[in-house]
Amino acid sequence: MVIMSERKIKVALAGNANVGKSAIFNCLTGLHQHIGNWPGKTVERAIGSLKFKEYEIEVIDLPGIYSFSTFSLEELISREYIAVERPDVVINVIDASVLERNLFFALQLLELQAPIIIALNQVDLARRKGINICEKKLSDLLGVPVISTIAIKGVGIHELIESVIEVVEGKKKIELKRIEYGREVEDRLRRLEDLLSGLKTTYPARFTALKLLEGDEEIKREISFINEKIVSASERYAREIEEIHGEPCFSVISSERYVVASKIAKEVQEIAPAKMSLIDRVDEIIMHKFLGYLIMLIVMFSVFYAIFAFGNFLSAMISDVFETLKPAVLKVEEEILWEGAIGGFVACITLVLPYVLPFYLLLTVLEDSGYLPRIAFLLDNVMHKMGLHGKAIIPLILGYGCNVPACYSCRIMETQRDRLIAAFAVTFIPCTARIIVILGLVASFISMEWAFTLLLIDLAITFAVSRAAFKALPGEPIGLIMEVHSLRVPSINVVVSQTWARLKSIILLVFPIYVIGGTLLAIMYAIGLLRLIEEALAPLTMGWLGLPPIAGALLLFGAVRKELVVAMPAIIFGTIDLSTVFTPIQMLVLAFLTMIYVPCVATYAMLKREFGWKVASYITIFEVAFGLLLSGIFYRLLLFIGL
Amino acid sequence: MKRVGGKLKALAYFLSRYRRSCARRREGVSLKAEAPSTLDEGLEKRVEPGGFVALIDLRVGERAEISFVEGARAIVKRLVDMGLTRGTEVKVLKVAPFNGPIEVLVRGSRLIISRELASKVFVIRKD
Repeated sequence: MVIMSERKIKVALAGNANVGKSAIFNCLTGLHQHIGNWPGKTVERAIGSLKFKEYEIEVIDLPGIYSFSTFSLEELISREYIAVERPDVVINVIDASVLERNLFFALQLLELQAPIIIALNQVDLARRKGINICEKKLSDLLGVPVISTIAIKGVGIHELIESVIEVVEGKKKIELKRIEYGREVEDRLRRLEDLLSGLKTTYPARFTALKLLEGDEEIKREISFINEKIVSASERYAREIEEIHGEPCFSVISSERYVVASKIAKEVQEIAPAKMSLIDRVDEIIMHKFLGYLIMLIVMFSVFYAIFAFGNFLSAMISDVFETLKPAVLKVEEEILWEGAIGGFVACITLVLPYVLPFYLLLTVLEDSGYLPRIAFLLDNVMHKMGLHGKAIIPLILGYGCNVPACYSCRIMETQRDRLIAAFAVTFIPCTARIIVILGLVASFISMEWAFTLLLIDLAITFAVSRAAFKALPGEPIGLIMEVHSLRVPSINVVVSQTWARLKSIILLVFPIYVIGGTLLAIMYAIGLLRLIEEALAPLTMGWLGLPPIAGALLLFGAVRKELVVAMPAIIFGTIDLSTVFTPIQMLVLAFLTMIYVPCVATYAMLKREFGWKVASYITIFEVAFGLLLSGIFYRLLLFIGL
Repeated sequence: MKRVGGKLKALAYFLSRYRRSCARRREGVSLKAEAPSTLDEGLEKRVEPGGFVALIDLRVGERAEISFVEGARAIVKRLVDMGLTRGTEVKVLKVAPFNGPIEVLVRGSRLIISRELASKVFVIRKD
């Protein structure tokens, strides 16, 4: 038997957002994929692999972007990856139904001189819109292979891989065409190219020259280390072009690139008038100025309802199973240990599985169907009042389920600044665990109205802090600009594999924290260490907040898992009737404090992963101080009302 | 008040451009080559002052041609990269209620643009 040696090749998927890149990625790699971060960056990186013939192909899904400037981390990461890691093939996924916009990006890939194969995706959708594209012409004009695909149905994927192999084996030649700019730009571009020729730069000479003219800070820095003069020459040229055209040089370059894209698009596509399809009609309705909001409310409500109904059902079932496993007679100390360690494990299962799983599932469905931009459209104005834009509604809603995935979902915001504000706002949203505390303390023993009041106050606080953060953080917001894609039925493959990959990363983060944190605290309690802490905290808890001494320990437990604030007293005092333990005012204050006083440890870990430990710690410190301050005021207000 | 300020700014911007374009004509630099023919047409139209409106001020269904985009570098870059370049035709598809963003058709694709960004894009109405 002959053992064939496997050749490894690297393939990158690049393209605009929402063109079906993930669908192609899934077709190629199936469940052999791993979602993580780019090293040291908070941008999602999806890597997968497949075996084809004697090749082992590593596929990397680059973020969806429109340009290779330095507008966002995603753009920077993508261009660096292509230029430095030099994948064997870059598959440029293009949405055939919006060819012109997608070609703008393809042209930039050409300028990066990457070995490109174009996957002309969603040709079915284009045809429905009356657009017919001639692959051959497109291929000739760009000098790269073009394969038509319908990724959701798996059409054309085989040909795509075949074509990748042919390119790698040299059977298919890629001869990238050169994009000619207007004379004023082209002349200066060539002069810069000449200056750059022979120098060792990260990017190809023409790309570097273009970016110098565009005033790209990063590339300017790189070249200024090599030869200061080239940079000053480029600045002079850029000024000249600006004088001639009467608009900034980068704008001239983008304009002319779009002119080329538009020309190519016109040449290769035939557009027949299409009649309004069913999906267009649906689109009209969900973006309607009245019906749109109604439908949005219904969708949101159903999503919430589905998740909580399903979550409660599943979580009750799982807890019951564990409850039967629990030894019948336990001393208080043992019970606390059990609650801390095993309880942590159970909590993770009963929280993550029933709530986070459906959340992720539905989020992916909403994402993949193209509904999110439409929500952003309808809600942009409301979110503006919070200093955010429309997309931020997603993390905020997710926050009601669990803050951890919600902080993670802040990545859908474009800039780091928006992400940070959104994540900060999210930590004030009462998650399932906090809602359990409010229900367990306030709704059960005081009244439903008070429970709602607390939730409303919390919403107001979220609004206020988010707005304050918006005012306080440096930097200018860019504002909302996003492409709206045709609605589509989400692909099951994409939904399942993405949900699974995201779930995996959350479980790895949360499980150890819950179990270790819970156990440590339980041990501290069992050996009496918490008593000391309780005493140390007494001036705050008893003096400032009017709570019983036990509150000190409860707050520590709550920092690990918020629902322990209501679960622990039940165990410690051996009664479910908490009205024998707390006065109504104490219950209200405790519930209020629990809502805001600190992000739980798992949220902290997620914040740290997304923004670094400094930011995570600042947020935590702020919330502790802010929570204590507000709760103290709240306590005095309640005394004043005389509840 | 704010809107008047915006219009004045637009006028000032237009004047500076007009001077530049005159300078260009004196220099005798041709715009031809690969440059869009729409550029020249755009310039001629722009000679009539007062023709500009902000994209946000268009009504649903109106068509217009983009003249220029103002604002900080990052913002202009983002807008032109999304295809809102000089001479491009746009059509307003929808305006979200409660002073929300607008939806426009540009280059065969639909874009949602927030109110403040859309007020930085100046256009000339098309009949």
